[in-house]
Amino acid sequence: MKFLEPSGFIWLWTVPALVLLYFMKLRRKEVKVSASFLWEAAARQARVDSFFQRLRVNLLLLLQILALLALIMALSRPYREVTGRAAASSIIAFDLSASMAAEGRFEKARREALRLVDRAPKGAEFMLVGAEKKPRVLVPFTRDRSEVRRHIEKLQPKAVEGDPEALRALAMALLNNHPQSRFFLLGDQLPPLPLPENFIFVNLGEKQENAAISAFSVETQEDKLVAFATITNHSEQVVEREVVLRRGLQTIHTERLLIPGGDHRSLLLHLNEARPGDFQLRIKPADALTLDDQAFFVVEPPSELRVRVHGDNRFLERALVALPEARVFRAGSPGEFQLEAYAKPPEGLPETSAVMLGVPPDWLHGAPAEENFARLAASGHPLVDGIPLTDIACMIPPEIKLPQEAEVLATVSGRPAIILLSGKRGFSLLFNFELYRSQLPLTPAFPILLRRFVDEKVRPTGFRFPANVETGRALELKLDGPLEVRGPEGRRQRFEGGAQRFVAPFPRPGVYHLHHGTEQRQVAANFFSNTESDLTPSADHDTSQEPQAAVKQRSVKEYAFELALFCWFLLLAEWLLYHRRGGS
Amino acid sequence: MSTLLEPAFLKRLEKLQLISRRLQISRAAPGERKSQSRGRSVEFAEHREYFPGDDIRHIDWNAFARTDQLFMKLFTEEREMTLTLLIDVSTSMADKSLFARQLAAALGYVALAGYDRVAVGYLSDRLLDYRAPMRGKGRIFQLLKFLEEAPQDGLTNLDQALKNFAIRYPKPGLVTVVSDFFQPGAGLEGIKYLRYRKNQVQLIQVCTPEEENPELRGDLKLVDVETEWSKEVTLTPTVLAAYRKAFADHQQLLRDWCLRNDCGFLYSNLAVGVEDLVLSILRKSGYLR
Repeated sequence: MKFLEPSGFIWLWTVPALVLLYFMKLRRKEVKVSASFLWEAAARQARVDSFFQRLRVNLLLLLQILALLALIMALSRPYREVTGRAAASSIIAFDLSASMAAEGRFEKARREALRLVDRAPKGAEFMLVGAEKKPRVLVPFTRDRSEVRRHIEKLQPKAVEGDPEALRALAMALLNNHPQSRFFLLGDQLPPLPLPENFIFVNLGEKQENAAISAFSVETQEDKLVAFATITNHSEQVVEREVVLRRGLQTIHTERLLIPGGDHRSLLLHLNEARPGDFQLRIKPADALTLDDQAFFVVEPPSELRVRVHGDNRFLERALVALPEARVFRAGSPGEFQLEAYAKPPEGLPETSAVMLGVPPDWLHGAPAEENFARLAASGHPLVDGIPLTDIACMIPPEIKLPQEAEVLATVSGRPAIILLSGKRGFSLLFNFELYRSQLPLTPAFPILLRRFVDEKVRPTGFRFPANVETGRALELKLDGPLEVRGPEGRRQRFEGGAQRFVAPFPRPGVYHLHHGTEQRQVAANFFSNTESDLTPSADHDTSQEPQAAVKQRSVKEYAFELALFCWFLLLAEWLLYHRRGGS
Repeated sequence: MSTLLEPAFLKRLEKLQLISRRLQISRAAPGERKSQSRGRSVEFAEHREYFPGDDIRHIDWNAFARTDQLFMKLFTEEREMTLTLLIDVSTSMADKSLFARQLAAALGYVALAGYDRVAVGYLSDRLLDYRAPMRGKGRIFQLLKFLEEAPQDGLTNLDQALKNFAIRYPKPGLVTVVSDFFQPGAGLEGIKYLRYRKNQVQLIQVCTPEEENPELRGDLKLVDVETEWSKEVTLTPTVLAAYRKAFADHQQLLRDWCLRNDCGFLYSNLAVGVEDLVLSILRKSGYLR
């Protein structure tokens, strides 16, 4: 027997102390009696069996010493190592990656999991892990089998690529924390070796024929649309597939392909038009995994930012032209432009959004601009947050008196240098110094600042994101109103607006319609993964351990509780013998 | 009326009467008690042969007519009886004093109401005090006053106290001793003196429930209330059982002696009230009727 807290034996000094106390004279309570001669006679008679009296007294001492020793032992936490049948706590990990959507695989995994739960010994604990893009614990350890069954029944594979390395890391972490548990992976892909001792791979993969669209895109080339697609045959045999390309509901191209085993074929289709729209590519007939037999692409209408430039400033123009959506004009009527750019401040403040080099003359107040140079200092305004403005030298600007609606974005020598002004119909970005006498246009900070100004203030919408994404991707948006997402199967999902971020998941391949206020966008979600589309079974692994079998495990058995209980019984016995039944 | 007797209890006592065996009370005044003396009364006792000189008024002429022999009719002479109540007032009786005096008051009243004479004496290690016999119900107040002023002192020495009494008051009567008899020998030597003086003796042992069945526990120092004798004991069930046995043996000693020597013995626990003792237990035991 070993002890977890050997320091508990320090209390052994209390044993001789108890004996010492025991032999010290007791302070007796005085009781007046009338018939002393009777008591004397009784005491005389009692002395006849004094041996038994002494025995009783000694028994009391013995009981108390035993109780004390038991208590000290309990404090020292004795234990011994035992080997026995464990109550089998099991971690059941479901491979939820796309390949598990292959015909029959996931149902087989579900049956196997339910069998594991049903055949586990009484008192067994279960944890459910979902191994999708990133593995996560779906149900923490519980003895509630009905809850585990309910979760297993609800599980479905997802159109994502699994991460075997992350799964292995999770398994190792869990088994490290719960060394008596066993980790069952119900899947078709063995994580990379080495695996922990209690890791049991239940291989559900089997040889199945599958051809997949492994790439699809539609791009504008010289005002015409060009579609590109790759179809991969993951089988060993040659397969023949019919490829169908549709725009919306209209079939615009059909082609038959013969693809050798383990090979792929690509298509390049020049479409004699440039109209935007949603495109769908399908291969027929359907095979074991239908998830990768279709692909989608959304071609969006071009978006532009119309900018009118007033005056000449090469730095400003170059920066504006660098904006991809910007179309720069020098003439036009005011209502046609979303942004006005002034090389010199106009006489009156513009009603639309504007970028101005210099400030209105009536703002000037106090000291004029100095020829000396000093470094920019960002004010901490959200618009310049993260933009590397510091250490950029520029001429010390003149002192100005700012109107109430103006906010300082950066200063030079304490004087406002970059100013944001909110107007009735838009915002203006003012530079209170000459760009030619500053390092700013020569640094990345300038185009970044313009980019952010345009994004945040000129076209203040967070409703911008790629039109073509991969399935399972979470879309993070900043919207000021609710977002409604209609999936490819017509299912609608609503995300409330506000300052928080929206997460619009795209669980399955298809075209999603997103509505935000009056704006509407289409997003095509695709799943291209050669790993998941390849249904070839994973290498065999040692699955000799029957999942439902109990395991022999080494564990530590502590006896502190039993000793404490024993101590309690001794004290109870002492109370019964010497107090409740007449005292000694 | 008194702290010793309630009026309602007194009323019930008036219906009771002391029962005494025939007493050798020839020197007593005529009363309501039958004596061993033959004399004048209405109650026929026996016949005897006529001897010359006998009072011819008591010749049974009917018997003569039947037998042609002269027989004298003898009648039981009724004499008054003296009930002497001897109460133990030693320190050991402190807890039982009120009970003893209430009992004595009740018995005294029964005797006074029955035209008997009542005397009271207090015992400790000697005869402490004695109230000469009183007669008539009217003396009940004197009796109660004397009982209320009872002393409470001294060691128990019934042998000496009863011997004192027997020597100083040799006239026989019904002597009732109320005590706990807690002394080695139970005071039997003194009781023998009473019997020697031809007293009809009734012993009433009075104890508290705690004395009969102590509920003491653990390590104690027992101190005698009278002698300051002390003993440190650890009271185990064995010791307690030994005490109970000693108590029972002591009582049995008294009981057996009384049986052999034609004395009455009655044991009463304080848990039994005085009323129950007098109205029920003493009647059943033949002390009262």
